[in-house]
Amino acid sequence: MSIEPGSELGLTRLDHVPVRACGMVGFLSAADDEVVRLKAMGVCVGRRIEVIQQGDPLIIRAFGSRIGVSIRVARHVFLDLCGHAYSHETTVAGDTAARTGVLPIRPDQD
Amino acid sequence: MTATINSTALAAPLIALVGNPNAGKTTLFNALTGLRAKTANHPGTTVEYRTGLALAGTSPVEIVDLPGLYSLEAASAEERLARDILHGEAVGMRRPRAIILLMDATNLERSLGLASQVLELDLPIVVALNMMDAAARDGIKIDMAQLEAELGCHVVPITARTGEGVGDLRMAIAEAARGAKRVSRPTAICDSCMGCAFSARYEWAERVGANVSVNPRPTTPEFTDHLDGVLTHPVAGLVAIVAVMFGLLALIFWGAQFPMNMIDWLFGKLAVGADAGLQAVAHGLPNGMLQRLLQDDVRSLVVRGLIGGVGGVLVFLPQIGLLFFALALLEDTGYLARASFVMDRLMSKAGLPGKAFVPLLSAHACAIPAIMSTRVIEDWRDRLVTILIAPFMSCSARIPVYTLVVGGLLLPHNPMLAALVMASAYGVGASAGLLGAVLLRRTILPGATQPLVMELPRYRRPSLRTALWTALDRMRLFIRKAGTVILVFSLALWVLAEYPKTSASPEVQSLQSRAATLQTNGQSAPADALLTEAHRLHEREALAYSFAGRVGHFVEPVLAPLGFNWQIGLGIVTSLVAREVIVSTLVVVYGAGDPSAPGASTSLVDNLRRATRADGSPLFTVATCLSLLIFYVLALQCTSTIAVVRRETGGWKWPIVQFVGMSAAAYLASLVVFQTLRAFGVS
Repeated sequence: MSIEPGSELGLTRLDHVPVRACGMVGFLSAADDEVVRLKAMGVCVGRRIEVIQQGDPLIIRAFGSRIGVSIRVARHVFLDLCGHAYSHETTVAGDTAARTGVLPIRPDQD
Repeated sequence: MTATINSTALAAPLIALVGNPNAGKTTLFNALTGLRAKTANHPGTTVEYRTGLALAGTSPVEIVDLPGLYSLEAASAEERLARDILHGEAVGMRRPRAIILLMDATNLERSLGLASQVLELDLPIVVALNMMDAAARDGIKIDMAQLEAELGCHVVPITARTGEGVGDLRMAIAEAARGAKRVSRPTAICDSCMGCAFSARYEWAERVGANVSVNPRPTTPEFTDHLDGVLTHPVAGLVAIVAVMFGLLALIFWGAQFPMNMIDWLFGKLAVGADAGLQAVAHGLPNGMLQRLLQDDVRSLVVRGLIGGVGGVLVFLPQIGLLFFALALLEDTGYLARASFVMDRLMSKAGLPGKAFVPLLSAHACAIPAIMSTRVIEDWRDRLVTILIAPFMSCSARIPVYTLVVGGLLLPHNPMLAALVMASAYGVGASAGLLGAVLLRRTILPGATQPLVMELPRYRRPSLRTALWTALDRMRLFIRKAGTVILVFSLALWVLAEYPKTSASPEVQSLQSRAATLQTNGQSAPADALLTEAHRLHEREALAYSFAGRVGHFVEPVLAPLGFNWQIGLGIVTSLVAREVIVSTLVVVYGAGDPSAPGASTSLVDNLRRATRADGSPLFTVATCLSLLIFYVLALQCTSTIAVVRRETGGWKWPIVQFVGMSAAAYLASLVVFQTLRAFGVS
């Protein structure tokens, strides 16, 4: 069974986030043009977003704007949901993973 | 005059207008430049930008309207061009002397995200803080002095839609153009920020936003929430699209009828006037070669070639103008983004983006404005697929052909079934287009569509002025870029249909002498009818003798398996100008018989029904009619479309691919239809 990227960090994939839930972007698992555009629109690691409508495409609110996002792109975005104990380590680990492409392994996974 | 403007443009300082999409950039650009703007393609690309002269204080400046940006990190061709222009690296473009940074007062923080990069460019910057009226309504208060201090440049509050503050902005631009204070302020240095560079910029934006404004990031108004609940709903959204697009189609289809008829009427009158004028001049000349030349070739060139050709270009203007006017209004309201959003999932199954929906629907009125409107699709490959399949949609020019073949020849006494067959023709065209998109995606343009990442802007009242100027700009662009090619095509086809000349045949001479006898006996009405018939017969013979007629004969063996004879082949050749020309060609080729003969009919349909092949068998059988119908559903018989595709794709490669592909599809489909029906005994 494959482990979904980001799940090790306790993050939830954007297309699995319930409507009206919010979260802090913890990890973006791709670096293609659409993900770059998302980042430029404020969906980048450490920023808070809210899911307005689920589906394909789905709607999120980021930085005061509504953004329509295809599910193909949403699958690359992982959130640390609001209400979870937000940890600085999680974001730093996610950011490192985004830069290096290597997911951190939790000690208890061995 | 042109030289003066060009030299002024070259001498005037270049000012770049930069801003987020949906921040009101086009409205501000139009307010600053008026109708002095022009649209250009960046050399070697299909990326378009607009430039225009504007008065800043007392001096002219040239403003370049850059594509809307969220950042200077180039992801698309448009963003790359904008970045290159700002860095002075764009081929054939000067580096801007200064920048107008357009910010949205209703969403200051998002605008500050882009500002954080623009402020690092080391250029004089003027900030135009737009939508101040909407910000006031939302209860947003911005401390201008504090914002100026944070950004280090002049901030001018404006409402571009009403023009409020634009005068002050002109003065500030003049100051910036004189090379006033350059701004170079690193903003993304943020030790406490987490995440990527964008995150650092947005942290900075949030901090500045909080420092300069009260309620800087209002929640989206409830109105938007409620409306989006309907307009982006998978089912209700589709219903809304059908309703809106029906209105749009009706506007293009019927709304354009009156001005199109007016243009047609005007050019008809012009042709009659020119014809009479040239005849009068010719009569005043002594008998000889010059008189014959003027009476015959020059008259035909002016009336049919030039006036017909120019009329053929201008007749598209109402549809182009109306489509772009309506699209600009819809875009300005924020609805177009919602329509693309709803259609994205459905369209992506055929390898098309959601934004392809509106151009493809518009193509049912006319492929030309539809192809021009594909510019809303950012990804070049997605746009190219849309351009290539758009002419498969049944446009209004096909209606005369469908009406003649289905209503006139195939099912003249069964209007219900005729309506069903015509509706099927529309369905076949749309299905062929979607199938074409799938095939293109699996062959020469492989890959998935660009996934949707699109801001859904706030709903707002549209600017009529912006919509009007957008429409005028598109019409001007069509005349300048496509009109010349269409005119050349029209003239070339005029030459093919006009030359070589043939003298009047014995039958024509006989009709003319009978007419002369009747005229002498005072029977002017039958004499006129005979002269008309003599004229038609001569036209028919001349057309058959012309290069076009010879091409018709030449292609007859190729078209015979489709059930077509040389006369239909000739119609196919002449209708390369426009599909409906086959009807007028058939009028000439199978024109009315001798009207003075007992029981004679002047109806084209009657004559076509009586038309026979060389072996005496009926020509327009069920099999031939269906074969001809499917041919015109699928074939690219429109030089204007070819000209527009050439302009939009920046060369001849893709129009040739499209013409060959659609012609091959039309040929194969007609072949299958005709031969299958024949095999099943349907003649």
